[in-house]
Amino acid sequence: MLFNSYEFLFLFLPLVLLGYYGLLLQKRLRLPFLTVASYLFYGWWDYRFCSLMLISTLIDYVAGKRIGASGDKRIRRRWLTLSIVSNLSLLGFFKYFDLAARTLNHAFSFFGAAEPFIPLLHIVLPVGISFYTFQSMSYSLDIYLGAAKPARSFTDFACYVALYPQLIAGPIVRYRDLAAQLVERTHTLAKFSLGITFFVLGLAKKVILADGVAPLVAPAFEQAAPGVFTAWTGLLAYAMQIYFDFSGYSDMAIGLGLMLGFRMPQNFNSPYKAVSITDFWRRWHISLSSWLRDYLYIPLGGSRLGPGRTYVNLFLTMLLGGLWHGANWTFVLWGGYHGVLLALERASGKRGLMPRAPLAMRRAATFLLVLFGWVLFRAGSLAQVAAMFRGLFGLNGPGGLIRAQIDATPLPYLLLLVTLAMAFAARNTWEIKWKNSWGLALFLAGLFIVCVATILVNTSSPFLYFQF
Amino acid sequence: MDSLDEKERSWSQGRARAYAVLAVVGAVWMIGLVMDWYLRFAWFRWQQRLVFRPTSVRTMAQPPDLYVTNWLPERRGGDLTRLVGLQSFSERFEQVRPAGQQIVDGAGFRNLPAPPDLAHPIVVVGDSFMAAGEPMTNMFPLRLAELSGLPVYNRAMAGVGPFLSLVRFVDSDRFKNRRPRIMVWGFIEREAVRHGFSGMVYQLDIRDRGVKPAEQYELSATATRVVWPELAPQTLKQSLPDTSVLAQFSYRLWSRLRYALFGMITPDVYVSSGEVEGHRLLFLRRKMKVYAVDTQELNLADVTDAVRYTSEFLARRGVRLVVVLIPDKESVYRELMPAHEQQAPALPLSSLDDLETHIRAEGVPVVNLLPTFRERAKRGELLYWADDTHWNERGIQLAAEETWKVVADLLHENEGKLPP
Repeated sequence: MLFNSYEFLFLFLPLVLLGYYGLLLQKRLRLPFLTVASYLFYGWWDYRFCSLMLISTLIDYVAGKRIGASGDKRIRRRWLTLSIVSNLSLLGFFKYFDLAARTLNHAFSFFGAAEPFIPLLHIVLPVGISFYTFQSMSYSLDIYLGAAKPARSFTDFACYVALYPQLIAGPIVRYRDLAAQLVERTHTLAKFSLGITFFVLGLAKKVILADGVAPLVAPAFEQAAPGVFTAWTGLLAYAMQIYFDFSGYSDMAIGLGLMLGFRMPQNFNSPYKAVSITDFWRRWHISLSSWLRDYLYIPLGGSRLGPGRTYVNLFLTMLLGGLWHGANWTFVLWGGYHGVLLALERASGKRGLMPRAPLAMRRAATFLLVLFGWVLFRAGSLAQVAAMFRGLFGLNGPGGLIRAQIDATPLPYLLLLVTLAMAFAARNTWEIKWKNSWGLALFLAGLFIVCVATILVNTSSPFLYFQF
Repeated sequence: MDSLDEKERSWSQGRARAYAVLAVVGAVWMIGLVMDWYLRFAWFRWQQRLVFRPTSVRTMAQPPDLYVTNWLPERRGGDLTRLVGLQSFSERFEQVRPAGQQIVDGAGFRNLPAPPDLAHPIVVVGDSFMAAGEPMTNMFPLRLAELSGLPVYNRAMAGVGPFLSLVRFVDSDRFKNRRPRIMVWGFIEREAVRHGFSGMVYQLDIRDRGVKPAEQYELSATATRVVWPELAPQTLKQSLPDTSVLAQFSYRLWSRLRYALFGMITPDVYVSSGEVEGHRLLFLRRKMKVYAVDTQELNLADVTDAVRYTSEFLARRGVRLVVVLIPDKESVYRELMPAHEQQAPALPLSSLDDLETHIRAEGVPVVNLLPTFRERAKRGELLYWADDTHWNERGIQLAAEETWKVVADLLHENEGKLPP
């Protein structure tokens, strides 16, 4: 279930908190309880997905234990390989099989094959599989690298993998960051209050801002020839939607973690204020970029093997990072685009591409580059990418309105202005230095009411059929 | 993570206010939570869907011939004005339904009192178009009875669609003991989608193969149990508008705000660009969405197959099926739609003409009301309530007349061939 749903806010969360704090005064029951609750949370989509997560968990638990217990480098390596191969196979099969099959069929038909060579399986992508396989893999990697010790028990580890706050959309908490907290963590009212604050602010980012500007996005990306106004509002709206959606979800996860006593790492740090693409990747989805840095870029050699190899490593890391986002070549293109930009910045030295330009201009230029990247990210096909760029550069003319725009209130446009102001001028959730006070409490309560009302309005368009 | 530590430390200081956020947000959340779930059970009786009790299953025994008369007061407004939910807006469209009496028989259908052993040669099944009328004298079955001079039994069910009504009737004792000669089955254009028909064929097929329907329905119905699928995300979400005070309150509030701030009503309803008999009409957009987005849904071959199967199923039991195709208000008054609605690409005027051709080709008697309704509409006649998706007195009368033309021929041609 999603955090911004009735069943989570009004069924799952209260029951879990009640169980966690009320019924389970026996502290050693808390992790098993959380594990079961997290599997329920996950199984809500489709109970069959739970077995996948369990398999991934089991393999990594055993591999981690063996790696930790053995002093023999070869054995350690063998178990690490098993862990990585099995996780990547799970991910590869469920996420990328159809893409690979389609691509190969396409290639074979190019060489004259009449029939599709590999049948498409139309696999339903298990929610969050990209997140939990990476998280689960980080366990065996951390033990192999000596950054963590094997988990105390299977329950501890299963709880770490399945922990519902970060299960489906991150942050990708590495095992080394959570290991100590699984054994010992504190539960204080201050922590719980802070958790509520993060959760409500994250909920508002997602429900009011991200969902609020969303109606502007589809008309731009789904038209064959979007006009210049539609294309730019659509693209800006998408940039705001993806940021507030994703960072809102991360804030909610951090808030929910705090309510259970866990501290999770920051995932977004005002990415649109970045002054270069390198800076952008230090601020955007930090848990993923640091995961890729530690477990992919550095093992590939990082920047230790000379400049040429560094550029290749950067490019490869971003290419794979792009592919991680989804099974479509547009994501690979997006990753490659960022890889090239990163390599270019690296080549131009530490001071970046425009060292003498004023800060505002560097920010604007970076944002523009990021925006062009989002076109690749959001478009479903290369044809759509082309249509969108034509629209952005005014080659489609001013363009007309479509039904979705006629029906829409002016609210999304107002919200777009609000989100732009917030992304560029306001402090982010982590920078705000609010004190716990009655004023803040009333503000959050009001925000929470607006969010719940918005969720209910969006999910409950009246069902007219009952009258027929 | 240091930053979180810091925040937490600073929040632990200042004892008096340390609990502020927790207390206020927690209280708001708890009040919403407890109130909504309490009312869901106490007021909306959601538990009747969530918990299955064998005793709550209606037995299929012959209901007592008991008639209940309800007096309905004068009412204003229809389902579309209710959907908009804005008094100040709806007033301009609302029409008055006169007060009148509503008689319901022992099985819950709107029929006038009749001797218990009276045989009805014609039975009407279908949805609210066939079942209901405002007031009762404006009902399709009654009009058909007037025209034919024969007793017509109303078995149509409002609120559950046209399929269940037919299947339930086939299961009833009335069908076994006092079989009609003609069954008039009407459904509205927007219901002519594949899945509803396939479901009905499945149900009829079970009966054809001799499996007792009661066993099918009540196979696992011997003990009280929780119906877990009611908690599944999609089902729970769909139940919210009907069972959650918070959802209803939020929806109304947003409707008012949208109207007050932007002068806009719900995008599901829109206003006609012209007038009929001095009324501007409200239209339902849902239909347009279905047709524009999901033309696959309307698979004519599947629908026709299902109709043919149903007709054969009934013919084996000595009953002739007559299908009545009821056009949507939006199809009949298409010219009154705003320009951007009309130009929706590749939208057929209506699917009913095609459907009629297909069904006729299978040899099933069919009444397509679209041409007559279109013709009358062009003459400026109002055949539907301005504020409702349903037809009005004149629409019902016209439908009954058109149906009677077909039914009369069938009765005449089958004279003596069918059991009385």
